[in-house]
Formats: sequence, C-alpha cells, structure tokens
Amino acid sequence: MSPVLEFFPAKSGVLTARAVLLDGSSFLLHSAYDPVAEARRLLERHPALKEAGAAVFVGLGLGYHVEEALREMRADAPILVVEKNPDLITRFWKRVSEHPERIEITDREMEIKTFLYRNRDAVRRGFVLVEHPASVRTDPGFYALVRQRVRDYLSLMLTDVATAKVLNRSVQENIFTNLTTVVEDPGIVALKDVFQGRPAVIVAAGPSLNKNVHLLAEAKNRSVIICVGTALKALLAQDLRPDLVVTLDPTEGNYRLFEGAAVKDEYLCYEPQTHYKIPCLFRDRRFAFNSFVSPLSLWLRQLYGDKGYVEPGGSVAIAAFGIACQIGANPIVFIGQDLAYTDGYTHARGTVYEDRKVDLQAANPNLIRAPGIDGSTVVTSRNMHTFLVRFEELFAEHKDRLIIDATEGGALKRGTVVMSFRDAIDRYFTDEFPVLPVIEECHRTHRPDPAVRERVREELEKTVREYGDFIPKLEEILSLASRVQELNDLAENKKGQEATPGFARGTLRALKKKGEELNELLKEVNAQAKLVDLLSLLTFDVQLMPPLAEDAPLAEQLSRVKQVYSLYLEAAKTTRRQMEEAATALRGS
Amino acid sequence: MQSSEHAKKVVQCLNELVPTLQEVAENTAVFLQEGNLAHGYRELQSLIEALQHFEGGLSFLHTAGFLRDTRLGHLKEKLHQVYPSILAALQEQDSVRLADVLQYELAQTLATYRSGGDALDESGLGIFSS
Repeated sequence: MSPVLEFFPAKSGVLTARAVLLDGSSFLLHSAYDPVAEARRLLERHPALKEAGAAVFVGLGLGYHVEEALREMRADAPILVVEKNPDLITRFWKRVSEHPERIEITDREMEIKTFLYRNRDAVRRGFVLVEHPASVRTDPGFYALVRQRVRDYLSLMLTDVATAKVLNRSVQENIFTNLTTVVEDPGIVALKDVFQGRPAVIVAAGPSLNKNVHLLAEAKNRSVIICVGTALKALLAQDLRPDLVVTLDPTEGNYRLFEGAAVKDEYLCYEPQTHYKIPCLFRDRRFAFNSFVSPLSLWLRQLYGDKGYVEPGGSVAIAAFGIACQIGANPIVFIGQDLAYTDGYTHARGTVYEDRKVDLQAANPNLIRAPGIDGSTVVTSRNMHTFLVRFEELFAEHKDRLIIDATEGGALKRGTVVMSFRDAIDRYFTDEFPVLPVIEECHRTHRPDPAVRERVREELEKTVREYGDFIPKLEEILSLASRVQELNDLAENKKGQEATPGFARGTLRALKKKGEELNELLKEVNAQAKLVDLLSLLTFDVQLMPPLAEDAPLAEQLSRVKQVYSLYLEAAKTTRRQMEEAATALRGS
Repeated sequence: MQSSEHAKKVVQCLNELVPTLQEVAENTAVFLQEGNLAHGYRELQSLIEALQHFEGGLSFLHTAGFLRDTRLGHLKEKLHQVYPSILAALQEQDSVRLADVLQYELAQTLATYRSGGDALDESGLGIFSS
C-alpha cells in the first residue's frame, strides 16, 4: 500500500511533502527548506543530462527535478517518469507548464520498454537514469524492479534493432537447446556464501591484463578465480586455470571465445540463453543462473525452479561481480577491468580480440574521456562508460565488501581501492584454502531432483498440443482478414464493378458478418495469453510497430492484422517445433 | 595565566576547525541531496568525528569557565540545539531531513559564527587582547 502523503509549504514557499508509512514512520519527500535547490543538486550528479538524447526518471515526487531537467536537457529529448502515486502525477500535470508533451508518466513495465525502443535513436545518442531517492523509499521493491528493468531493456536495446531481431532468434534457440542442461545443472544458488570472507579475483579481458596476469598462479587456491569468457583463452594459453568461468551472450561470437579452449577442471557459470555449443564444452561441470527476462524464460523458470538471479548489466564482468558477491567473497579484486582503451587496444593479448585497436585521436562520437586511475584522462566508449556507472552503483550497494581495482590501468572506478595486483596478493591472499573441492561438493549435493525433468517435459508436451490447436486459429485469422479486405474493397467499389443495390446490401452484410467473425477470433486468440506471450522473443517487430489511430481506416487495420498475425503464425510454428525437440531431448536424457 | 594561555591555544584550534566543519557539513548535505547516500554517510562519519573533537575543546573551555557570555559559548548552545535534529533524522533514516539540517541549520550556524564581528580574532572569546 502506498504511503500517505502530507503536503505543506517549504520555507522557500513552494510545496513540499512528507511520506507517512503504515508503521507510522515518516520521511521527507523533498527538502523542507528549498526543494527547488535540492532538485538542482540532484541533477548535478548527472552532468550527462545536458547532452543526453533521452532520460528515465525513477520516482516523480513533486516533480521539481523533472522540471529542472526539462530546462537543462536538449529540446528534443524525451523523458519518461516512472511513478505509481496518482496524486503526485495529478499535481505535477496541473503545475508543469513548459513542454509537457516531452514527458510521459507511467507505472507499467511494458511502457518502459516501449519508450526505450520507440526512442531508440535518442537513447543511443545518450541515456541517463535519474532516481529520486525519497520516492524510491516509498516503495523500494517496486522501484528496484523498475531500475532493473530499465537496465535490462537498455542493455538489450543498445544493440542494433536489426541485430536484436536476429539475437532474439538465437536467444530462443539457445534457451530450448540448453534446456536439458539447465534443468539438470545446479543453480548458482548452490554456491551461496560458501566462500564467505575469502578473496576472489575477477579476471576481465582489458588490455592491462597483460601487466599482471602472470601473477594469477600465485592466486590459485588462495582466492576464487572467476574469469569472464573473453579472458579464458588468455589464461589457458599461460596454463593459468580459473575456478569459475562466466558467460551469458547468445551469439556465435561468444562461442568463438571458447571454441578449442582446453578446458579441464573449470566450472562454467552460464545463462540459459548462452550460445548452445558452450555448456557441453564443460561436460557436466556447470552452474546455471538466470539473468534475462522474457515471458518464455520466466515460464521455464517456474517449471525448473530458481537457479539464482545474476544481474547481466550489459557486461559479463558485471555478472562475474554478482557471482563473486553471491559466493560471499571479500575482498573482491579486479584485474583486466580497464573499461577504457589502454594504449588504444580493446583487449588483452591471448584473447580473440588481441589485435583490435581504436584510433584515440579520431573524431568519433562514440569515444568519450574519463578520469583514469592515476589522475590522467583515459579514452573510453559510451558503452563502457555505461558499465562503469553501473559498476560504481554496485560498489556503493556493497559497502560491506572491500573492492580492489588491481587493473593497474584504465578508468577510475569510484568505490574501489586502487592497488597493484602484487600488493593485493601480498596483503589479502595470505591463506591457502581448497576451492575446486568445495565447488565440486556443492555441485554434487545440489543436483536437481529427476522429477523436475519429468515436470518440464510434460509441460512442454502439453504446450505443444496447445499450439497445435492455436496455429489453425492464426491461419484462420489471416484467411478471414484477407476475406474482409476483399469485401471491403467490393463495398468501396474499388474494382469498379457495377454495384446494384442488392449487391451492395449483400456485400455489406457479408462484410459485417466476416468482420464480426474476425473480431471474435481475434479476441479468442488474444485471450490465450500464455501462448501469445511465449512468442514475444520472435514477435519483437510487433512491439516496435507504432500504435494505430483509433479511427484508422479499415484497410489500414486489416493490413496491421495481417502483419501481426503472420508474425505470430511463423513464431508459433517455430516455437512448437523447438518445444517438441526440447521435450524429446528431455525424454532421452 | 598558564591556563589562559592554554585556553587561547584551544580557542585558536577550535576557530581553525570551524571552516572545516562547515565545509564537511555542506559536502555531506550535497552528497545526500544528490542521492549519493554511500558517500554522504561516509562524509557524515567524518563530520561526527570532527564535531566530537570540537565538543571536546568546548567542554574544556566550559569547565575552565572561559565560555560564559562569549561567542563560542553561544555557538555551543546553538550546536546543541541542532544535534537532536541530526539524531532524529538519523533515527528516521530520513536523508532529506538530514541534508536539510546539515545545510540549513548546522552549516548555517557555523557560517554565522564565522561571519560575526572579529570572528577570527584568535580568542573568539572577546576577553583576550591580541
């Protein structure tokens, strides 16, 4: 239930408010002295707002910061505000006078996604997420979810839309092909806190890894070594063995990072949408985790159980950090985490991308400057800067951990202690302790019950049968839509036929009848929410279509119906086939 | 006489500390208003430690009878009126209220002390000639 809001004038004369929670405690929503000055202060933390293409505000409050942002931001930059209190929304709309057309306010998750995708060009020019801390406090669970969704949709959206469409096909294919493995593997939850208070090293693949990767041999069995997929070959080339390898990318490019790698005792931590050729390289030395949200992945998760959530964050190193926190590691040491183009290189030696360079002098709008660890300025990309910002937020959320940046290069990461990897090892990697035996034991004792496999298989087979009934209805919709289109053309005499009154009446009657049949069938199909929702990955185009005007001509509406339901038909056939194959694989394993 | 000399030194130290206290109070408020609560509470810790040190000096002067009817004495009273608001904001975990108290009450009180008359005469007590 929302807190009760008490409004009163601040000392500066404008309105402020206090939120009173159910338990009687209360807190100010805005300064009791000068809410407008406070709003300006909040925005000072986001200097990127001035040039941003778009922004999402989490929490409205009385909207002073949103009004200030409107004045600061570019005139063409759209703003989405996520707020669930209708009273605050009403007050804001009554008060705001400048450019209200640039602002959308919602409390619905799908509208966040629609906003980001509809304004994808603006978002790609630069995106800022601004939280109003006091608003977040009124419903921490809701706003935490909002924050998570913005990040998840954003990281999806940062890829080109065309790529996203192809990616979604790969994602779904991988989810089904990996399903047997995911069902039978323990989740990352099996490792929860098993290394409480032990150090961990997160090995990323930035160019500075060249400087200190050789020291990893000293870290073995004195820390949990967690490496991102990109860094794996660089380590194995020097016979350096990580304990955990993290991956979540669905692409063929990700598989190339692992192809031919002489994996031995390492354990893979993977997301179900990981490229399907990767999990089998690790035999059964695997832990699954869940990061990405789609109706399909949520549905399957309900069937096979929670494997443990790990934030994807757009970068596998963020996922690796999440895993380090989940296993209880402290301190957490980063190496190879440049988040910048050190010496113009994108990656370390020994990685698949070791020869990639960037021209740091080029006038490239994707390149920006950031403070380096040594007070200098480094060059990074907008993408990497987004990851840097997210890392800093995560570090602030994990004040109970000592987080050490031992990259020895790259961008400054607030919230870390900067030191050499040599110093980190000497100070914190003092005790030997068994790592792989502990991981093996957790793996052995947390294997899922075989009944889970049966449950998943049965539900897949049931859904295959449901799609068997669903697909003919989609075909019927397309057929009816074509028929209605023909009748409409006749009724409008588009073919220039001689229309007698009897003919016209008959055509209109037929048009009305077929139109009603089509409407009924559309309602029936759309009511089967589960079957429609499970197709969302493959019907991505539907979400990108701009809404039709309510008074759009019938021809336009019919054209839209045919577009949408052709997509649904193709998606339903593909999904049914993939489910059948997955069910067969589960039966055979 | 010796105790007067010592008191003078304490007053000098306290006067030198006032600008720092004001700056840290303002910085803490800024962090909290920006929503940077992690940094804000870290700065607050520094502020509280500095205030404890400051209060130690004031206590010494008070015990030795050097604070009555002086500007430092009035500052002490004002600060003691602000502390309960800081505590209440902390107990309620109300970062907005805390920022208000730090910026508009604590920092303001210290700024007023600094700007009041010969604020930086070494004694701040008005009873020692320079």
